[in-house]
Amino acid sequence: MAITPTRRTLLQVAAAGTAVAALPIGVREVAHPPAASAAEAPGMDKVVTSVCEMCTVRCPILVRVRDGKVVRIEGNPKEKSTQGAICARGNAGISLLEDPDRVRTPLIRVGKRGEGKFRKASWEEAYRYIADRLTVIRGSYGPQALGVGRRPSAGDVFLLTFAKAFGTPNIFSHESSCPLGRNVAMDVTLGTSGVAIDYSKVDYLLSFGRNHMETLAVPQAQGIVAGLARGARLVYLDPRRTPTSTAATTWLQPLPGTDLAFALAMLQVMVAEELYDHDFVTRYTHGFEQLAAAVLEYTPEWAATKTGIPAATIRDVARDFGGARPRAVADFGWFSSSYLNDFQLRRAILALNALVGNLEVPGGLFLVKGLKGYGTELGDWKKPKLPAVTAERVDGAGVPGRFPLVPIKDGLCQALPESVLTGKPYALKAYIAHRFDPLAAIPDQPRMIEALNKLDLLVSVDVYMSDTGAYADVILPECTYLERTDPVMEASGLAPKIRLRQQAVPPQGDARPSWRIYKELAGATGLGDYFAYKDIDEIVAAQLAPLGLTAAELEKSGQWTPPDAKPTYLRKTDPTAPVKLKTPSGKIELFSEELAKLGFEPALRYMAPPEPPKGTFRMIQGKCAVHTNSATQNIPVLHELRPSNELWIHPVPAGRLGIKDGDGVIVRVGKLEQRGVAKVTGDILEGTVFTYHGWGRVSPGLSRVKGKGIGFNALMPVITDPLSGSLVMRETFVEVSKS
Amino acid sequence: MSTATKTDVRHQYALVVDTNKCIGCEACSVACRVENEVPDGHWRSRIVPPTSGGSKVPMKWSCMHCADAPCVQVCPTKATYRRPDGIVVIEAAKCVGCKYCIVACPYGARYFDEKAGLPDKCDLCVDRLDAGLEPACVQTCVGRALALADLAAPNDEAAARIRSGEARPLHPELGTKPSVYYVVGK
Repeated sequence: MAITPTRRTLLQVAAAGTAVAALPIGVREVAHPPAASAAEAPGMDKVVTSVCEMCTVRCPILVRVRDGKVVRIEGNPKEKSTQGAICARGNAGISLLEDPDRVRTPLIRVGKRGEGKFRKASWEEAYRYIADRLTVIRGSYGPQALGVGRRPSAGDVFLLTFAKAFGTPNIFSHESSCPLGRNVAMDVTLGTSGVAIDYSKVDYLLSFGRNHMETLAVPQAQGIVAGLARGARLVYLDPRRTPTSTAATTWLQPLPGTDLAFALAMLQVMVAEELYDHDFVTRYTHGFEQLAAAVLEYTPEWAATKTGIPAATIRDVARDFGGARPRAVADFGWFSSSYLNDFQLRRAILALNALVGNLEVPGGLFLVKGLKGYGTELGDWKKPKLPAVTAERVDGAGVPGRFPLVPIKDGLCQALPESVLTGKPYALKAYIAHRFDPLAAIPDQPRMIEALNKLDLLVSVDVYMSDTGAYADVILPECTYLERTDPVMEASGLAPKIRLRQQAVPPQGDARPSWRIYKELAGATGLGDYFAYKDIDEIVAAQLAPLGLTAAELEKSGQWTPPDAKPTYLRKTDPTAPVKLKTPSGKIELFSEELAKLGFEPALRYMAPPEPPKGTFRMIQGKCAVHTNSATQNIPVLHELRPSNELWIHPVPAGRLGIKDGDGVIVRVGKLEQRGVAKVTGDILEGTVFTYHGWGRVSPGLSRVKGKGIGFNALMPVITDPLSGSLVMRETFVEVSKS
Repeated sequence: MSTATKTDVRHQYALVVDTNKCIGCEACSVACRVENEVPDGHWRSRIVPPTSGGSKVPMKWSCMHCADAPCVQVCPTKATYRRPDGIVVIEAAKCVGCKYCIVACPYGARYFDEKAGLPDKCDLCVDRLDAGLEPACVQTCVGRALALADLAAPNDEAAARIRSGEARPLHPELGTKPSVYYVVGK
């Protein structure tokens, strides 16, 4: 492993002959801080290969440690897709690690819910507190009265095992507040959501609001930038100027919610002008005839009246896109909890890709080639068979007649208040939120607060006292990703790949890793048999055993691909090669009998977004590059970069309302309001206002960010797509006034 | 990349910022901040974002390492000077904290570290350079928009972009001969 010296230990390393022989020992050009030279103290550097967790992308990193402290985090230069880069958040991991606001000891609530008043407790007392209440709840209501919610992560297996051992089916992820609509559309159309884009080789990338340069996944952004540098085109649709519109070769500003009209019109042109791959369509798709019939009426002239984009432009984009086949890709996006037509939009985007025949060729879409396809799998620790769960889920995920298409590993996280407050189909009485903040993430904050208040037991497992944490009975401090080793994670792409997140420094205070938290909580709850491992090392060893790989080998590089596995495009050399898809037809389903059977629209169909009532604005949200959802706004360095959000409003309506740049504004939906500051800018459409997501926080434990900015989620009602189960978070209209 | 020391005149460093590749993500800002232990509230390097009324592209903004640097000229104790390899540095032991340099810098690239009682700014991560490493901002750049150029090296790609005029300094009319060069326009 390459040792990367820190600036403070250069002399040591140089003396050891590793880096440079001719360093002028003792000469420092810039003595800053002045005491730094005195700090050239003993203590060997170590560099730990690990995996970032500042967002969900999980970039490989090198963590430099000296005297038990993390001094720098860099990207692992061995990873080709990032080349040693990490984003602002990844660079700021140390600021999270050292944040005084972190919860470092278990806390038991002493004040009212939401007051944030807690007393310190031992882990034993905290476990006993939770276990006693869970036992009572199970006795009175059955195990299904427990719900658990989490951000999917390498370590969530412990929470999931605990929930399954306890006997509840009510397991939720945050996905229904983010990519669920897209995932379900992919499941229906391609038979899997394990599909990725070969960004760096794409010649023509069409993005329907996927803001690659700001809602940042480093490998994606880097691939696209490299593509642009060699002459690739990026056509980007967004009502707002973003870093992606700056990078794009063409930026189009459609009216919010009308991207579907644009996509359908492109399909219409491509079918009418035969700008598609006939052989591919015949061989690999199902339902082209129905698609052709469905899009017949969706002409560019029609779409122009919906989107506000000229018909000629739409036609040009369709022709260019079709002409660039097969290295043309329409990005299926990420966040897709925007409009009721989002599922249709994602289906239409997947159809665009199908028409250019880009599946499994360089510069197209590819199926993720995981370990399983390579004939092996990660092992697991030994545990008894988990009990059969018979109770139905509260949210109807996977249930015929309710949300049959929603994966039960995700469910509908927005179902919590409905269940608790109406008792339909029955009431959840206990909830464990693991690195997940329903109060910040899910719309209708007042109703969520009412529900949290009504729970018999609310536990938050987190690094901070989140908004939800402020309402919890118990907060269990999980240590950060720099202080723990996680189970081996798959990070496969064109070839199978695994990665290991390794502990770089000991946990601060009394924080603990989740493998330990749930093992110990299970012990206190009488479920210890399911966690019969000694420690994380034993788990990692069990995982690696089937691969014939030792932990020591994986620790060195931090990631591993089977030695004889090569990046694979199934259709690179033979465009007729078989591609197995797990759809009913075994093909890309442009028309879905399965949807029809379930009572949903089987064909592509336009659904208009609602029109804003007079005097209101369409309200859209987005993510900025220096924060992740609602998780990082309080981290000192990142908070300094962007401490609050603003309401973007166009100069014309701002002038009408007497709002000047920097003025205080009130944003209202019905009786609910949020206050913030106006940013008067031509970078947004006239009838639309915008804020970054993640502000309007209520937890007293978030000392920097509490009370800052606009929390639009708090104002929105819960609207759920009856098909995908996804939240719909862009169909709420707001009134804006000067405060 | 080859190594450099204080007395090394074999190198002539400059920074090339390709704004076509910069996505404005501020990874460089934070890498710099952590690498150089910059105190709370201060930054050696930031990104000025594009807006409809302002710059069309994101602009990385930090010390320009000028050949005719006003900060060097006004420094009463010669604490600020330009190394033979082109890096403008501050020798803390000689600095009296008068702040003339902060006022003199036309690019507003310096800040005052109240705790240390000293001005500070980008030094192109001299410690890293001396150890044969790229500056932290270059190393972490997501778009690979930043490149350390060595104008003394004949085959240096980034230096070639400066020589050809493709990469140009910001506000050359100020006459300070900056060593940070920007590629603007596709």
